[in-house]
Amino acid sequence: MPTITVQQKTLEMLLELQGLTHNIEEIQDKLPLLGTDIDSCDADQLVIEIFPDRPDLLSAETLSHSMRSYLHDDYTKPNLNINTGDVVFHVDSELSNIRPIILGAVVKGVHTGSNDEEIDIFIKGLMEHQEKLHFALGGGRKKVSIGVHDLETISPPFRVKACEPDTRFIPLAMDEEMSLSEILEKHPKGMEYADLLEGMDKFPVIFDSDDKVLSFPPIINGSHTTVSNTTKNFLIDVTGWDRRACETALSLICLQLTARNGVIESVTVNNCKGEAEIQPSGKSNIVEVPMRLLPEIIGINLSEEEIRVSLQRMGMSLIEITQIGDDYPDSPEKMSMPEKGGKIAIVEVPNWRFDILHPIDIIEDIIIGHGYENLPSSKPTSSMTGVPRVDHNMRRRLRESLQGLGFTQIQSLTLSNDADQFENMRWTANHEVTRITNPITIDHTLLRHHLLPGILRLLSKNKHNELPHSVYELGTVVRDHKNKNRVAFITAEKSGGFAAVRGRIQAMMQDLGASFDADSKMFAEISAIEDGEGPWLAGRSAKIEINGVHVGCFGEIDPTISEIFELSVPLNGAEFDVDLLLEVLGDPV
Amino acid sequence: MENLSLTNPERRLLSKMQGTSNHWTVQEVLSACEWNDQAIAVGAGEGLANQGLVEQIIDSKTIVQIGKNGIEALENGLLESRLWSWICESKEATMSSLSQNFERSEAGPGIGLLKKLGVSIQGGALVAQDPDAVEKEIQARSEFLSSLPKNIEDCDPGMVDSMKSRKELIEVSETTSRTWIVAAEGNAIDSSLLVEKEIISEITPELLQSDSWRDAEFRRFDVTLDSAIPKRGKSHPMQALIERIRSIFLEMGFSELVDDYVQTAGWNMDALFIPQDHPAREMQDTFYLDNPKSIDLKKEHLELWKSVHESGGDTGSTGWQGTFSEDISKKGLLRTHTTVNTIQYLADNPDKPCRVFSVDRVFRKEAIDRTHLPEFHQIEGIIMEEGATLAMLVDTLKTFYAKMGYPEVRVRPAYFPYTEPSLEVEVKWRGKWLELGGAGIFRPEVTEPLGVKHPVCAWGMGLERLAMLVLGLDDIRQLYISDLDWLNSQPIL
Repeated sequence: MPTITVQQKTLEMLLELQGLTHNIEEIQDKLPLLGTDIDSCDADQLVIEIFPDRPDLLSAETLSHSMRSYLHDDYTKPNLNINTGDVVFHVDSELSNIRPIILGAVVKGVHTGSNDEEIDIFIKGLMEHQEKLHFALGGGRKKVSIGVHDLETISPPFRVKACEPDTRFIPLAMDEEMSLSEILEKHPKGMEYADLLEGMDKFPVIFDSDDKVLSFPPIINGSHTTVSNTTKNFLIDVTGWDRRACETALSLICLQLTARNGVIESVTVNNCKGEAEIQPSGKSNIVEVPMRLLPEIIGINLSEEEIRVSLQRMGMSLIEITQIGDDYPDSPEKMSMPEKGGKIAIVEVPNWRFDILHPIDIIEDIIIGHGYENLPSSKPTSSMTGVPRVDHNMRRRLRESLQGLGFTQIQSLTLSNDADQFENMRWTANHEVTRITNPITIDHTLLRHHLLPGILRLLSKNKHNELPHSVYELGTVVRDHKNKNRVAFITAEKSGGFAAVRGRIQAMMQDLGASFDADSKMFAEISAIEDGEGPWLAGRSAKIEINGVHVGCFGEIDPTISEIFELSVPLNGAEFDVDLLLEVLGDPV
Repeated sequence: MENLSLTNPERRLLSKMQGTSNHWTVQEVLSACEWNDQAIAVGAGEGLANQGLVEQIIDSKTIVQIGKNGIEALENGLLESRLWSWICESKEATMSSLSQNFERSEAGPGIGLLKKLGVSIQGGALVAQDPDAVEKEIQARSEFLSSLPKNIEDCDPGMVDSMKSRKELIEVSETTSRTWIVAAEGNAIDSSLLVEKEIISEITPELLQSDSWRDAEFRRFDVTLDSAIPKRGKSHPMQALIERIRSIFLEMGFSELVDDYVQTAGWNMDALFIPQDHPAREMQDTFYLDNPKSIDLKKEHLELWKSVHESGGDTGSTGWQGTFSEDISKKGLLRTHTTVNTIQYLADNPDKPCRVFSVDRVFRKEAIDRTHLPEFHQIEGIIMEEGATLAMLVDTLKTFYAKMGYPEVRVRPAYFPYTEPSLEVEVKWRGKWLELGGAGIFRPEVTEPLGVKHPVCAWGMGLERLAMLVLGLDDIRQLYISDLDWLNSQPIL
């Protein structure tokens, strides 16, 4: 999750501009209830985690804007105040295939700080805000990129042109002119973002009326427009492919500057389609919210006044609650729909609330504004019977049996590799193997077919511990891309060998209700594995069939196999298919 | 002397000592009693002394012995002695030739020793002001070393101090010697009480079948001593936690879901309204599959998701806009959460109110380290019924966590892509608030396209973090790549 670090004195200054007093203690108690996680909060600094759906809280200024309504009852308006300005952008029609959305705004008279330190904090915050917005809204400048310039260094009107790669200007952080293609090859920002312009033969560049370059979006600004300690008036450009993300970004940079008493002036963009747009819009969005959602989804009834206050605390505004007509169903299937004769709240939502997609999102804000701690109590009414997984008892019986025989349960990773699963064990893959495209290491490239290799790996990590070891795993393997349940055990002991493991198998079969009597209903027949199949030692290993179904193998592990796992102790063990055991043995009760 | 309780060694020793008046040393005790083990002799003497039958005299001495490096110095000469011989024999005893003739590890400390002995460096050459004094001091040191061991009282304290400060040259240790002299009370003991009795260590069937045990004495063991812990079988702590959580869910009327690890991006993410360009969907966070690379999905589902993602469909949502790719939907992956199974259950049973849960493994592309594993357990429960609300969810959470042993629960706002409203759940754990899960109501963009009839309350948490807290573990690898001694030493949860 993105985190932001804010100086307490910056918050104090920003709130003071609005005539409010910053209260650090209140932040610790109440800010988390707005839906932000406080990492740390001391007398100097506040570090908070911002949920990815709230790009409107990613700077000290926009955070303080939300704090005004939520913590200080100083309810803010859900729109931006905009004066008419005279700055014009002319956009070439060619931009429609290069970077179709171009937005702009002017903000004047920004209180950047009373001393150099405050101004430095402001400039750093402005840069960080842009970077965080690029990530939160644009997935790294793809959909949206922001440029902020010192308005006094440039002269309108501005032109946005599609330029040849050999167009030259001095980019930010450089001393000499570079061509656009040189920037993409050599400039650090150019190299970082070059892929966003891949396949284009012309690139977007913004010029002023003296043909000085403001910006080469989405890569880099020109060097001479850089915001400095004396900048008070700003020009913002936002370019990209996603209109909603671009408008949100523009509103949020404007909101950041108005939180410092800046005054927004509109600009006219003659866009690539030849239409004149007045920007920024700054207008709130109107959302209709069926009031039935409060009792039906949240389980609460609130008065109109409570709803109004809750919305105001969240920076929204209730226009009215109205009763609707009879053209609606009695019990609508869609949450967005009101019921026949029901009520809807008409709510003004700031256009920078990027997370509001559906009326349910407003409902959540009402409940956050009202306080999660104030929810009433409500118990589920219908009674239901809990049914466990079908193999629940078989799994329990296997665990009891093996633990009674002195086995300690282990668990290992499902992720494994060809060598351990097949080659090292002399097994071949008789089922489809699930293979990972992007494994973390060469040891974790596929999902296991067997449990024994994992147990052998674990034992080889435990050579420093005293013998004997008796361990088992009841685990999931994946064959033909389907989960299968298996159980396996190994004993590492100085003596014992085949007789010991056969004794354990006899005990286990007794525990599971199978018998070695050919006349029994659950006849467990044991036959020798003679050919060294799998990890087993020929003549000292066997397979078990119950009523003719092959459920597993047991015996001594061939020392050739033990050696591969760097184990030089006698090993014996077994592996069974739990799904088949359940199928043939059923439940004795 | 009614309460007289003597061990056989005490009986034997006292019977030997009765009527004597000398101090008995350990050696004398051993030979008189025909024992080989000093511990028996000391134990018997101490036991008698504790009962006031003999007097024990303890004599402590501090002995100076030669140390490991001292033995080497006796063979090869002390470092300062070797250096001094080299200075005396060398034509050009300078610092640079010193470093050619001696190892660096000796040259450094050696210069220090020489300086203390009165050798100084003048223009790069090593010169002694008073060669005779140096010679004499070195001689004294060598003699002292070869005279060890000695009582500390017989040593020159300055010599001991200076040698003690050098690594393992000498060792100063305390030794205790005991002697015993029989007391009047000891002499007064009737000799019939000093006849040794048969003492039984191990109670065997043969012994019990004979009659000899009736007059015998059972050896008293030191019950404070550790024995070897027998090898035993037990559940893995994760299994124990899983079983506890399963029974809570089953008691609360939730039925268990078990499903496959291999899933599609469509069900794992698209169905849950996670946008196709969401960072968690990238290759660095999710395991995608080469086999199966792509898995077929029903056309109706693809169409529903496409319209919900691009425009909200008929849910009244704006959707994510942008373009939805069916190929991305069909990609095979390892499930990143168990919600992929819950949502498919709801899609198959959209009308029927239900309570279902799962406790199973999920996969995230994480490198293995102290706090991360690429697979871990997630628990999840959902309620779908008429009248399911956020208030009911919070109440259910309180019941669930109370059954786990955490009666104090609080919730606060959170964000998850597929729930709205969303909650973070915190419980009071050993006096402090601990984040222990997330919860919420499935978004309409998730449930409505599938025709799910009622609101769906959901919550979940990871299990490994709880296991680590409960077991006081700071390395998650211990749960999956366990040290078996550690595993066996864990409490049964």
